Amino acid sequence: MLTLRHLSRVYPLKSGPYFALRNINLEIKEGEFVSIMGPSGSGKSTLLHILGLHDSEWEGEYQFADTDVHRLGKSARADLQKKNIGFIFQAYHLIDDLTVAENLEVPLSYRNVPRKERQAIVCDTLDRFHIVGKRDLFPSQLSGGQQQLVGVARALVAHPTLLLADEPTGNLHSDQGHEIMELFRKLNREDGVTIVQVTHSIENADYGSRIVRLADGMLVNN
Amino acid sequence: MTAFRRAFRALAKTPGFTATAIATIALCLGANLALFAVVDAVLLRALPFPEPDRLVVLFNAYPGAGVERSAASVANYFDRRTALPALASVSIYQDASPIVGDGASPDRVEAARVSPEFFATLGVPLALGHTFTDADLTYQTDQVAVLTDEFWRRHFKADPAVLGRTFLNDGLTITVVGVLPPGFRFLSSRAQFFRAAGHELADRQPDRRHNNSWQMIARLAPGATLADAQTQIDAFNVRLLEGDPVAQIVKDVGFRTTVASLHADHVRTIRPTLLLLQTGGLFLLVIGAVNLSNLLLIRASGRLKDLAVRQALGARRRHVAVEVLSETLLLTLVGGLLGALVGSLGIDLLRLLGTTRMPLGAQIEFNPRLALVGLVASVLLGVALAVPIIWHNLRAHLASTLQTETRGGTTTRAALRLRHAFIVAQIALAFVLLASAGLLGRSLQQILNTSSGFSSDHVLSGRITLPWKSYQTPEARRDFAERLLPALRAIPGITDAAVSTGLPFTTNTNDSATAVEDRPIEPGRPLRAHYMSSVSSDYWRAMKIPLLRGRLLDDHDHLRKERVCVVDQAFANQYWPGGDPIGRRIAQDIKVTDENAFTIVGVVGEVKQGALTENNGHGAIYFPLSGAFSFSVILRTALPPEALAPAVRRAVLSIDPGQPIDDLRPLQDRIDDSLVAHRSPAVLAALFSSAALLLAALGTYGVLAYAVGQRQREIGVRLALGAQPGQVLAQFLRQGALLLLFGLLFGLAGTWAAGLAMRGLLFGIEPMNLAVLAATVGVLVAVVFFALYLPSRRAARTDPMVALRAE
Repeated sequence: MLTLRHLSRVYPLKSGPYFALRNINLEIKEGEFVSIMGPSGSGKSTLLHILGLHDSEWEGEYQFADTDVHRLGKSARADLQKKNIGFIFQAYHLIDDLTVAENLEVPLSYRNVPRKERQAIVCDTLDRFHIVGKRDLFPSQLSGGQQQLVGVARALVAHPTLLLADEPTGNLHSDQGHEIMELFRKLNREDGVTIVQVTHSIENADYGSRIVRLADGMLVNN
Repeated sequence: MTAFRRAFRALAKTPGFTATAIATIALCLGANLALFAVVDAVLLRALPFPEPDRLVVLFNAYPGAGVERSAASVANYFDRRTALPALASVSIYQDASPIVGDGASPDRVEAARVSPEFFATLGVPLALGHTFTDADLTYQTDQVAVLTDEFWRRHFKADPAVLGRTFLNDGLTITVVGVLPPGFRFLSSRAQFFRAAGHELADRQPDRRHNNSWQMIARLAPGATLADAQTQIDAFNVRLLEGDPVAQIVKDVGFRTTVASLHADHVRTIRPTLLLLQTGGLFLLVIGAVNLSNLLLIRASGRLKDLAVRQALGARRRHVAVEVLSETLLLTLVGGLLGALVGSLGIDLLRLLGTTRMPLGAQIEFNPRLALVGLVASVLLGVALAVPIIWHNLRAHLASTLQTETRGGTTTRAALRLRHAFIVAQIALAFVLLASAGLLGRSLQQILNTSSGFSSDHVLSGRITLPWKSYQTPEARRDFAERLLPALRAIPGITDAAVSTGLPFTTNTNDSATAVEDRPIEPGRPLRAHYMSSVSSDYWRAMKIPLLRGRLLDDHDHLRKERVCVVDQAFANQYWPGGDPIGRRIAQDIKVTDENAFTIVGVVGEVKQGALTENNGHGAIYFPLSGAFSFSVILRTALPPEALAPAVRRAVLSIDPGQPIDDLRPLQDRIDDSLVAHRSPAVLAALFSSAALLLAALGTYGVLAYAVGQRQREIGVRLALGAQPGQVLAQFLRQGALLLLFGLLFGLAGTWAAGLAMRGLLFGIEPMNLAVLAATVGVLVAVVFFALYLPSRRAARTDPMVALRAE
């Protein structure tokens, strides 16, 4: 599903170029659940944001399904992202001024889904994640686990084929973390969603099918 | 003191914010202080006389004859001074501008002629000597004067034995009988001394009751009210009419006498304008305060964590309030201090716009009272600014604020709503100011486009008043004018020279009742008043007033047996619509007879007499040169008019070395002066609305820029969830557009109310003029959208990686 060849990411700093990622070669097949691990500053999140098409300032080749991402323009990349990728953040990043239902609607609104259809999809998603009772609550009225549950629901509301998660349980206590990881496993196994997560926790990484290790921007074990 | 020190330190840390806040306060408070100086001096401050509320003015009116306001007569004075219990003291006065000194150094000064009770009516005792007596009230005995302190010091070197000393006034020897206390000034008069109100004994007779050439003031009896005085004068007039020889005529024209507060009546014309301007100033202050509130709220949002930490360490609500209050008070007090400076400069600017020519305008100054008002306003503003911030701070939830770092919390929705409400208010107020400025500007443009009926370009005009002693007969006075005109025409550069007793756009206009032959006075067709002037034959050429029918007057008309006159088109239309007035006879009386009749020989174009805004149709009559004491000189030239002034003065002195010419200035200046009441509000409204627009733009920009800064994370999330930069741009623009829309709607409603309030100041334009409203919407949309676009574009250019990393 994903293929990276000789991918590098360099930040030009005053003190000289900083290599966040160097010569990454990685393949992730459809239906895999991959965990990216490594110490802080190893380039895990940078890699995840590149996979998520949030960053376009890299060098090398990136193939998504049959599409050569490195050949795509800005607009085509945005379309590819909208169509295929869902993203989950460590700090949930729900929009404070919007209710749970409105937060779920945000990705759909950027995909030109008609309003009525959006509402139907949101209702389904609320139901699927058992958060119907929370639909009109604001993020500040939810616990951390509940917020991340909404974060996961939001990432999946547009039915992506690839789910990227940046330390999804980093801000949660262990019970809540387990719940989220169980949910990931279920999504992966039952719904066939390809998942790539960044994590520090070996326990969480064990939920996946493969571990990719990074150190100093380089792939050290695949 | 500790709180102030801490506030100082906090403000010093953010010099950009502090400077912006102080500049906003200084500008808004300064503008209001300058305007308040005018409002206070003209409208609020009591007249400088004991118990000023008891001072009233009485004037006759004949609305049916087109005379809404006249004055009072000598006969009225003698009738009323003891007859009305509600009036403790009744006086009359008349302004004068005599020549003081001998022929070698003639000096024209302002003076007044007053009845004996005048100073007692005002409640001002003399510093020296005594006032006049009834015996002084004839032309034979009125050569006595009461001096102002200034005149006494300048002309008599403050001689304590001045009583009985004399000075020359219009060639007559005047004896000093009294001196007024220092600082005495009657309303806006610049009178240097007061002479007795001399008149002919015949003026006291009932048939002269409507020769209204004197102003009447009175002091209400203790306990009496204006209503009492009005009731008594109404009843008194009814009684007098029973024996009045012209009772039916004055009844037909709706004769009545009005009693009004002296102060209110004196400032009646300028009052709406001043109140409108002060309201405009207050709007600006509110916009400035709203802007500051928003800036302070933004600042407070950024400091919520500090505050929460303080509260966690034991700070109470009182401490929070005191801290905020110290900061806002420090800002407003420093801003107020600078505002006082701006206000002082503003007063100078207002003087340039003509405030000194307003009634009581000479009293406008920056005084301790104004400084106190500035101080109180600064404190009130400081408290008002503190309230929403204290509310915001105390409303913040301590625990969640302390946790915001982990939850990525942003500002509260309530604070956001408040800031948005402030933006809407700011846009609405700016709309009202901008639309008002537009209305006043369009109105001024309409006035400027109104034809005066004559050409004022390259015309110099002045006033000559001949002294009775040297020019006792009409022949002598006419002779002076007839000798003067050739001397003026001989000045190089002068193409036409004329004299006239009346001159448009001066106070020298006379509107007396006129009888028309074959048009009997009857109910529904009362006697009417028209402008009247005695003019030399060159008058119409000098003024470029067109002859429409018949002929103009010539230099020999006054010698002919048949007395003739020229009327204007409005007069002709009024009495002979569609007909020919040539050959018709009229009289300056209540009935036309062979003895008083003037035959109309020509019809000329109508001219505006008092203001470009006045209604047409009043009608004017021009008579041959009559030998009046006072007349205007009109000189048309191809040169700049001011350049001729020295030569004109020399020409007048060549005819009579003791005779000055006064008020020598271009005729266009007089028209410009008449526009002060329209131009000044338009200029000030334009200044205010520009400042308001700037503040609204800054306010909108500030709030949205802050929102973008605060919502970096949200923008990053949205971009990460698939939003396109254009969608983020549209999102912020949409949010701003909604605020703009609400602001415009409220502004429209406000403009409707403002338009109604200033309807009296508008000319030729409706308060809800579509073009003005459309232009206002256009300007506001353009400015606010520009202010919205910059931060929105910044939002759209957010790099999601950076935004999310910053978290």
